[in-house]
Amino acid sequence: MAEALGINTQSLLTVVFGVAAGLAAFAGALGAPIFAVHPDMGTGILLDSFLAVILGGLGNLPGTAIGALFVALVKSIGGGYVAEWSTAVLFAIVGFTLILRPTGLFGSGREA
Amino acid sequence: LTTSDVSVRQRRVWRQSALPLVLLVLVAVLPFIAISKFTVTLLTEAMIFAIWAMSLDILVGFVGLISFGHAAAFGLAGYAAGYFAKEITNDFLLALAVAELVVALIAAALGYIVVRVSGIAFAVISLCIAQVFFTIAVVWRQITDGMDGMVGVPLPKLVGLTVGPGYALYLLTAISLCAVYIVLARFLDSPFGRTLQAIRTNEVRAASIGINVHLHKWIAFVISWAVAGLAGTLMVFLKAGTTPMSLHWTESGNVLIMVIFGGIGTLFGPIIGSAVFVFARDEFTSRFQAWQFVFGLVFVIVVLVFPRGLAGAISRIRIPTWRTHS
Repeated sequence: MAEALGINTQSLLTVVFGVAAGLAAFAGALGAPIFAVHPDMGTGILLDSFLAVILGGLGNLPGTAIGALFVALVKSIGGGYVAEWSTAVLFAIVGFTLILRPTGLFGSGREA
Repeated sequence: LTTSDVSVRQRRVWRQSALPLVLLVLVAVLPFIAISKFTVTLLTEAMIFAIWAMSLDILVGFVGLISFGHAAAFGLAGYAAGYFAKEITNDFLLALAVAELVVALIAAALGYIVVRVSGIAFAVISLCIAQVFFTIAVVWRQITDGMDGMVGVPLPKLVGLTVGPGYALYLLTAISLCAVYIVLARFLDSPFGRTLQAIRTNEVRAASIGINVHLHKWIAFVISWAVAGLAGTLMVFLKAGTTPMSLHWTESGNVLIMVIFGGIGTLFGPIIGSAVFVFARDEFTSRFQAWQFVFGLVFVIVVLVFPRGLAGAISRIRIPTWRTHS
């Protein structure tokens, strides 16, 4: 559809991918002084950011920010009170939320 | 049904079971002719993964639910069977029955809720479930021994005989794989299986002609978990133990790779995919230090060149008569 309107989807998608990777790199650079830098450091954050995006609702940037805040808070507060269970609590909360609202908290109708 | 319908059906049943049975005989005599002890162990592992990958393909390929937490069923069955064999009796069938009971009950309870959603929401919820089980396995040390893993699971006994490591366990796995393949092929070809595929193709239309979509998805979910439970049980006896890593999301990713690699929506694909996965991993880990890099590269190339997986690539060069759907 977009292609029919004369938009070069190939280059557009490439640029979007590049910008997204750039943002992730920026976050990585900001996080480096706080977290330990190691080859595997992306694995944990990959799962967390995935949860944040889904929780906030796909295609909703403010929602994603709130989702990220929620994920981070649950991890740190949970870490203080229930220690090793904090990730399980986080996953359980996200799971229940998605069953009640499959589009995420602030998703706009579109099924995630 | 007319007589010709019956004969067509019988021929299809014959075709579906003949090839696996021939392959089973081939696999059974293989260790006496060619391959080493180490390859026998690798093949056992590949066949267990094949059962597991087929169970995932029921969800991904035939119902259209992409599960990113299929390690949950596998690891859960491993812990259940392992604990039972260690603490009570090492009878294979009893341990399998206990593991299947645990897995099926949990799958029925969870599945009743989670099959209501689909798409990415389902993928994330299944991931969440698996990660919760992973955390339980890490924290509940009295049963699971935490991150150290459960060790010292005895060899299984079958009708009074100990199933030894090596060939005996290999044969048991091969027979299980063959049985699972034939049963699943019949199952997916049945009216129930066809209904599942109708739901995958168009859920709204399927519902509008009176199909109970939720019930069908629920049953398929439980069956998928139960088959994965068989794989998990075999694996805990092969490894004589299990660790929380059997529940980790990277394992769920691996089995998804096997299915995509082999070919989604076929039963043969996951078998090829898991065999290639196990042997390629063994080959690459012994040759390259950064083996994941090479492995990932090969995976990306295969998926780009053959979007329907290795099984799709093979079916393209088949003789035409094989592809006719009667």
